[in-house]
Amino acid sequence: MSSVKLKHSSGNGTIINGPVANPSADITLKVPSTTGTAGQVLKVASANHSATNAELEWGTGSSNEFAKVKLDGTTNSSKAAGDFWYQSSDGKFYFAGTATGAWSTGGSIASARGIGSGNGTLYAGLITSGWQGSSYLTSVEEYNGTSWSSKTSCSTASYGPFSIGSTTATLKYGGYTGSYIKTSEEYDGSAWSAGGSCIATVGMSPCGAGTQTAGLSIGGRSGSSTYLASCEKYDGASWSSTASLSGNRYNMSSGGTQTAAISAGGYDGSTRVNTTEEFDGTAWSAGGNMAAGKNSATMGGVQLNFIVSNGNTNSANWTNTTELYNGTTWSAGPTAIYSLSATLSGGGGGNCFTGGGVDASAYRTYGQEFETTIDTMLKAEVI
Amino acid sequence: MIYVITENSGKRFIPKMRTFTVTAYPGDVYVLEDSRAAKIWADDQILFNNGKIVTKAEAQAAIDKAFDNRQSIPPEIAGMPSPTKPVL
Repeated sequence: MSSVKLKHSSGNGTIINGPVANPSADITLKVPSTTGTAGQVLKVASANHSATNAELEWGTGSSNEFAKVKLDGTTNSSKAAGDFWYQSSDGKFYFAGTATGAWSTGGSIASARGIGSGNGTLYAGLITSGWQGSSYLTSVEEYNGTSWSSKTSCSTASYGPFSIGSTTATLKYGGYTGSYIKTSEEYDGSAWSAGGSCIATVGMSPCGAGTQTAGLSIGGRSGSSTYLASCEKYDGASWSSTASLSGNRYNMSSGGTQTAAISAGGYDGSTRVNTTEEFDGTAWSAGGNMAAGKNSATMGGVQLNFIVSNGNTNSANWTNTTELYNGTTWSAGPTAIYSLSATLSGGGGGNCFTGGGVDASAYRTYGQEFETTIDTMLKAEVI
Repeated sequence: MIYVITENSGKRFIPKMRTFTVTAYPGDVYVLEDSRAAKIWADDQILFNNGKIVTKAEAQAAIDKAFDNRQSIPPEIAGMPSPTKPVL
């Protein structure tokens, strides 16, 4: 094997050897015409590349060289819990921790209550109406992720309405005023006005999904022993019938959009159900079952990332247990701070807030927050 | 376990980034695991939130009192199980 020794002035040097094995033919390697930039690697250019010829160039390496790899060894095109990846923009490795989330206390509401409605997200939420132990409420409070502020009261004093939408475009419908009602009210962030009345008397604790102009009402209770399976869509002005749930129930946990909604749990008049149903805008289909039937629970999220916590079961009036839905299956989540039922709650994908609720003693002013955590637990410089 | 009677002071009263377990009960009773991080939280309640560390019996007595004075649930709410007093 021939070699070339490039000697240092003190005597030793760098030796460049010929190939370790005899090539089938002479090969030609052409070096770059520049010195490149710091951090670049020398790689084979695609131009003029053959079995006997290669032009070398400076580059950052192929994307596959640092492909994101999940801890189970498979690659994945999106960042999610359990992923480990190289981020070329800052030259660091990242690890996304398991996204189970955590509960903490949030700001306390001004008016203790339960059995009201909540909508919006952890960072912009609204609670409306309810019951504080002796009377029906019209009061409204808004959450900014830190503290609550009083807002314009709605017109109808009730408990058990349901509300959907954002803090500046809310639709509230149904409820119990001493009578089961089907009227709705719309809120624009400063004032309430009458909305269209539901077709059926959705009454006490229907649930729902969507927005003020593309809403979905699900089930409800229109009499002391009359539970509903019927569902209706709202277009911002009027309601129309759509496909019904598989069974009669009220007080479910629900969320999502008018065309991708989820309804889980609830009470059917004899038992707290643990089933989940998913709506695609046209029809309902069965989803995974929760570990336990749960009624009057805390809820938040969307069809592919939904949380149910608190609430009552067939054996307990107040719980702090949490279940998380990924669009297919439920898994146990961290326990809530308080054991409560009938909280006023809302949330977006991966987050949830509660205000109020009732425990073994009283209607509360407690606020709770749940937020999914994606932790960058590992950051390592490439050296 | 550490038994603390203290009042919920709102946001971050029980912080998200905590390293101890806590279970809340009526009567403003909080039961913590017996750890250094939990003791720090309990001491903060004493110092800054008029809280106090109590015995298990004292905590249970506070729960009993709160339960005995509980507010009623509207009779129209269907099918609630009989209320059960939390026992430590």
